[in-house]
Amino acid sequence: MGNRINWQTYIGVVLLWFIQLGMAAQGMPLTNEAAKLCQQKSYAAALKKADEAIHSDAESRDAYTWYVHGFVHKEIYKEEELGNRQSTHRMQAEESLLRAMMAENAARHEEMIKLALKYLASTYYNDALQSSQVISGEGESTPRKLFADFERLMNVAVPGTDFLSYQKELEKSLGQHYFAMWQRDTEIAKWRELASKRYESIIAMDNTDSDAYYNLAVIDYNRAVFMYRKLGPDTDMFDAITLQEEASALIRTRALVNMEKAYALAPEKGEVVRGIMMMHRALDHEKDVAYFKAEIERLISEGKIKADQHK
Amino acid sequence: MFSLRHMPIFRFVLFVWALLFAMSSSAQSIPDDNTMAMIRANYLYQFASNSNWPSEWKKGTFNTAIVGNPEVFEIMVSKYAGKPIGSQALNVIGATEMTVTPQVHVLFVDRSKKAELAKYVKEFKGKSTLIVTNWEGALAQGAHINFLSIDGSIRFELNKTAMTEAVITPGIKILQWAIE
Repeated sequence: MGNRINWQTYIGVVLLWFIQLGMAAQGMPLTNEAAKLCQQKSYAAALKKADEAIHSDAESRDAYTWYVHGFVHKEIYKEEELGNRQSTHRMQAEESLLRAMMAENAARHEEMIKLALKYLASTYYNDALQSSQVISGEGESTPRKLFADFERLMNVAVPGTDFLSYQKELEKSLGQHYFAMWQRDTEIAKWRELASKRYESIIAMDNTDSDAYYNLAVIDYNRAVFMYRKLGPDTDMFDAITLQEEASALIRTRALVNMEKAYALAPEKGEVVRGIMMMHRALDHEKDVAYFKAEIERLISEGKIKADQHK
Repeated sequence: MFSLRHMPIFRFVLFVWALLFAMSSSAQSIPDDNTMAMIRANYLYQFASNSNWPSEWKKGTFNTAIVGNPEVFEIMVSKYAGKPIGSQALNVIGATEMTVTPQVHVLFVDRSKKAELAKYVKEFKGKSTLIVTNWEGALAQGAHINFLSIDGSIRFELNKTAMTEAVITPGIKILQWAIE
């Protein structure tokens, strides 16, 4: 019985809300027509009507008019310009939606406006990550600017958003990109240094990020391995000894230190356990190698990591 | 009033996650290289090229046998096999081939085959076979050169008397870099 009463109350509230919206929209023919055309995916016609609506004295003061105008631009962006970082439709959508938020009756449409803004914010975030993977110089201005746009819109759409995880993802993405650039030409130290800086910045934001410690360790370990790979029949004995002392010091004082931090934070992560085992092997630490090999076996037997990835 | 439907945010989030997944799958990985094997193989080549063998051992191939360490064996084969040691070409062999090889110039016995050292010392007694090992106390057991691990770096110690008995003369670089 109680449930029945609750349902009746709920349906009543919803009906009342629709009636209110309908009454409010009665004097907005242009906006309503734009919304209808947009629903029918007739975007060009919808945009024309929405443009007329925002220039109409009768309709331009209403938040809903600006919301529809922004929404139409947003839909056109999705259809035609998704991934285009210079999209004019996205900029127009943003402007109109922010304008809708400033209208006197914004509160009535706030939820929908914020949802649209959140979507736009997400596209800026996505673009920031994508652009971080294609930069070829040292300039990070494009991904940084796109990320700032994401933050700006999210602060309106979802006030109080915690950006830490997003910031870390951007730094990680940049770090991975620089690492990949370094792998293409390991003689260019600049890429390695930039990758390290990005992971160090993650640790500065969050000193419990095991991935950042792992990635820092991998950079230094790779650097040491690249040095060892230079050993060959033409290497002089003095050079070989100097090279291996430099490489082993790199592993001992940097790579292993960071890998141990990663391990302390994620002792059952397969790649970390394998990583620490490899570093001990590179330092000829027999007992440690045996210990971490046993750990890998245990994690495999417990189904926590896959066997084929950690042979 | 028409209610405009939003693209569900979760669909977009999925797109972002797909991108992140693609990135994390190309995450930085640890190279498989066995660096200890790399440095040991290089040392074996250095010992071969910086020592002097009797003239009757300077004919045919320069045979280097690797026992108990497949990774050192593989690196020797891929990086050093065929390279000149004086006028001889370096040939890398395993334990089974040793029995049919008349002259083994360098024999590396890994610590995994520690128990077999005595057998090899006996077998190569009176021959100019340089026996190299990698465990503590191996020189006293008959090895000529033994690898030492110092702070993760590989260095070596040698038994010069035993080398002289085997008529193998260590070069100046070997003497210079050996740990006393």
